[in-house]
This record gives sequence, structure tokens and C-alpha cells, in this order.
Amino acid sequence: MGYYDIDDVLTDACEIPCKFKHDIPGLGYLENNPGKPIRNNSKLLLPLWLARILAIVGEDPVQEDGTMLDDAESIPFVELMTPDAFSAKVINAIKADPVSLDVHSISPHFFALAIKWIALFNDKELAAIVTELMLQRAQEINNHASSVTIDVKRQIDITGDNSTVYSTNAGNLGNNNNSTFLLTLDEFEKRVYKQAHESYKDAKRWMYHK
Amino acid sequence: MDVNIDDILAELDQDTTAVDYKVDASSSQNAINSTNDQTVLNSSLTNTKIQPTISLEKDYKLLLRHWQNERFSPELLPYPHLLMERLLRRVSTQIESIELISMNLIDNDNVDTSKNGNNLNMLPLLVMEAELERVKFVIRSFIRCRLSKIDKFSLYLRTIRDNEGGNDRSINGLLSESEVVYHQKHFNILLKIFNNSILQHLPSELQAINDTEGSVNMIDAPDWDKFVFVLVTGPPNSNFSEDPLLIKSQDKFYYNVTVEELNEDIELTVGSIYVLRYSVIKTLLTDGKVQLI
Repeated sequence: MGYYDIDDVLTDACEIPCKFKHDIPGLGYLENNPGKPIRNNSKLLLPLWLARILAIVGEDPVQEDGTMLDDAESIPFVELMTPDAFSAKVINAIKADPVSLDVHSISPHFFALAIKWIALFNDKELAAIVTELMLQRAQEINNHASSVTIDVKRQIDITGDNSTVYSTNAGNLGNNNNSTFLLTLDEFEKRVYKQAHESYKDAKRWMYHK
Repeated sequence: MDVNIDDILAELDQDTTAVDYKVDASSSQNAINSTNDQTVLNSSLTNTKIQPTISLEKDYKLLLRHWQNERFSPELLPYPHLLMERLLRRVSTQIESIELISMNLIDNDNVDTSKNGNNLNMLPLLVMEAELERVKFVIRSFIRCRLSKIDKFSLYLRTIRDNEGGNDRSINGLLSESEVVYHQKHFNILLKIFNNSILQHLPSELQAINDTEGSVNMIDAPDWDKFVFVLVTGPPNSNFSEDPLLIKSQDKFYYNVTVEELNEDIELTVGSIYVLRYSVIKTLLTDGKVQLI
């Protein structure tokens, strides 16, 4: 995930529910009422790029007499709360049936977000669940990515005239049995699907259709 | 009673090949002068001391290997200076010789107009031209692949260059001369665009384009953990007993590599194919003991 990666930028714009742990004057515009301070314990949605940094840094706790407390950890500005994408409901849905899950409707950048979230919290349990989800769905993606070429092959066997058949099938990307599954893919999976599909298609084109 | 005479036969074989080699070297018009042979030997082209056999065929195979590795590796690999020098010189001499031959053909046409003889002469010329095109294609693809990586890792390469003193991989071993120029100029042009269009409007502490302190690192380093397909070829001179890393067990030769993050040892058997992290096989790749496919 590089600096100029557009998908990465879009992922960072996903909003995370946060709870402020300090009273901060002047930051009211985050709550859409500029000019007012932000209150302790107020909840609001912040984009990940902002929430991530605010959840790490914080004000150093200062005692009444002005000396620093050594043993007390500094309280970060905000506390991140679990976003909808990783709520118990979604986790259960993933465990139940990874393939039929509509990842795209949960979050268009589900996997990228999950990677960032896991990196932030060192969440081994979630990592295992998401890995399983990805493996299960990868099999299905492979099936769908290769399905067009099977069509091409069968029709060639029947007609024996590969030059015309291929051109009708070449653009057959979203035929009916594929489309319902493809609509549930998140952006990362779409890229995987597209690459796999292109490579299957090119390989078949090379074999059957100079 | 069986007397194993394989080694005696091998010695005899070697004699004949040695004679062949000498004849070949003296008679072939490789367009390599002997000084170049020496430099190639000394600087150890593939990091191992191979026998001093430099042939057109071997160089082409080596080019294909460099090309394949470059295509699939996530990082920019060191530029094969001597190999490319030899190949480019051969390409130009081959172009010249093709021109000379075709001129001869025209002359012959004028002298005798028998079409039969003309056709016979055309075939080697066609083959030579087609072969030249093949070699040129590979070289072009190789260079373009490298240029795209230079674009991608522009900032990263600059950081390598800047701490050249501390880093053992100097930029001159990594890039060819024209690539250094390309990298420099392309970077300057890019910087100019960024500066003129957006960076000059930002506060001065945000104007750096190689900021590593911010929330996101701006320098894209190669993805060292990228998974690559690897064919384990064994030592480049196929002298299995001389390679200290190679381990033998039950008629199999294998390399032992460790995936640090998983703390796992893997045996890479010679002749088989694996999918591995690039960082694991990086040293084997630079030694020419594995090949990316």
C-alpha cells in the first residue's frame, strides 16, 4: 500500500466511530458546529486517516501541581470503537457462509480496511477470520474468472469454427450467473477477479484464436 | 565384475570438447576481443567463477534469464553491464553484416538473373533478420521493464543514492549510465510538476515529497514480501559439489531457506518449483541459483 495508491487513499477515507476523551476547544467543526468546543465523551464519525493518528497520540497527563506522571499512560485524544464492518453481526455472517456474504455492501474496501484495523489493534482473532474469508472467496472468484473460457471451449467443440465464436464470447464478462456474485465483491476482490479473468481469457485466446 | 569407467570416459570427453572449444574460439567471429574476455572473468558476471566460455548462445540465454527475473521480481535488479555491452555490440555488428550481405545479393542479382539462386540466398538472410528482431525485442522489453521500475521507485533509488557511502549497492552497479540520466531527469521533471502545481501552495514543512515522518511513508520501497514463482536451478556452473549452501540427502540436492516471520525452514529441491516470498530467495537469486518464472 503505497503513498500514491488510490484505493489506499479511498480506504483511509472510511469513517470510524470515535469517542473523544478530552475537552478540546475549537474542534467543533468535526461535529458540524464550528466555533464550539468538542466535549469529553462525545461520539462522532471520523475518517480513518484522522482517527488513526488521534487514537495514538494524546495529551500527556498533567497533575495538579504541574508535574508529569511517570507511570500513567497518556490518554489518546480519541478512543476508536468497532466500526459496523467488524461488528459481531458481520463476524457471525462471515463464519456462517463466506461465499454468500455481500462484502461490497458492508464496505467497498472491506479487506484493506480489515488489514489496517488488524495492524492497529493486533487483533489475531479477526485476522484468522478474514484470512478464512479471503481463502473461501478466492476459490469462488477463481471459478467465476475461469467460467467464460469454459464457454468458449464448449462452443468451439460444437461448431468447430473458433474464429467467429470467440468474438461473441469475448465481451461476455457479466453474464447472468456471474453477476450476482460479482456484485458482492469488494474493490480488492474486483481487482483480483479482473486480473484472473483477463489472464484466463488471454490464455484461451492464444490457444484457440491466434 | 563391473568396472566403472565413467570418469575415464569423462576425461576423454573433456579432451575432445577442449579441442572443439579452441577451434571454435579461434574461428568464430564473436566480435569480442580478448581484453573483454578478461574483464568479464575478473568481475564475475554471475557472481561465480564459471569456465571462461563466452558464447553467443550462452549470452542470449543469460539475457533471457535476466529478462525473466527482472519481469517478475519486485525490486530493480542490478544491471548486467558487461552482458549488455557485449550484446549491444553484437547487435550492431550483425546489422552491419546483414546490410553487407544484402548488398551482395543486389550485386549478384545484377550479374546473374537466375531466380533460383536468389531464393536460396534469401533464406539465411531472413533467418538472420528474424533472429536479430528477436534479440532486439528481448533487449527492448528488458529495458522498458527496468524503466517502469525506475519510475516506480524513483524516490527509493534516490535515497539509496544519497546514502551511497553506507550502502554497499551503489547506484552505478544498479543502473546503467543512460538509466542514471533517465532517473535524474525524470525525477526533476516530476518534481517540477509537483512543485508548480501544488507543493508551492502548501506550508513549507509539508513541501517535501520524500517525507517519511508523516502518517504515511511517502517513499515506496519494493514489496520485499511479494510472492514469486521460483524454479530452483542449482548452481549456475552445475557443479553441485562446490556449492557450500547445497545440502544432499537421499539423492536429492536442496537449499535450506528460512522464512523469518513464520520461523519455518523450507527445503528447496533442485529442479522443482515453489511459490515463495521474494525476501526469502533474494540471495539465492542474486547468486543465480534460482530463477523466477
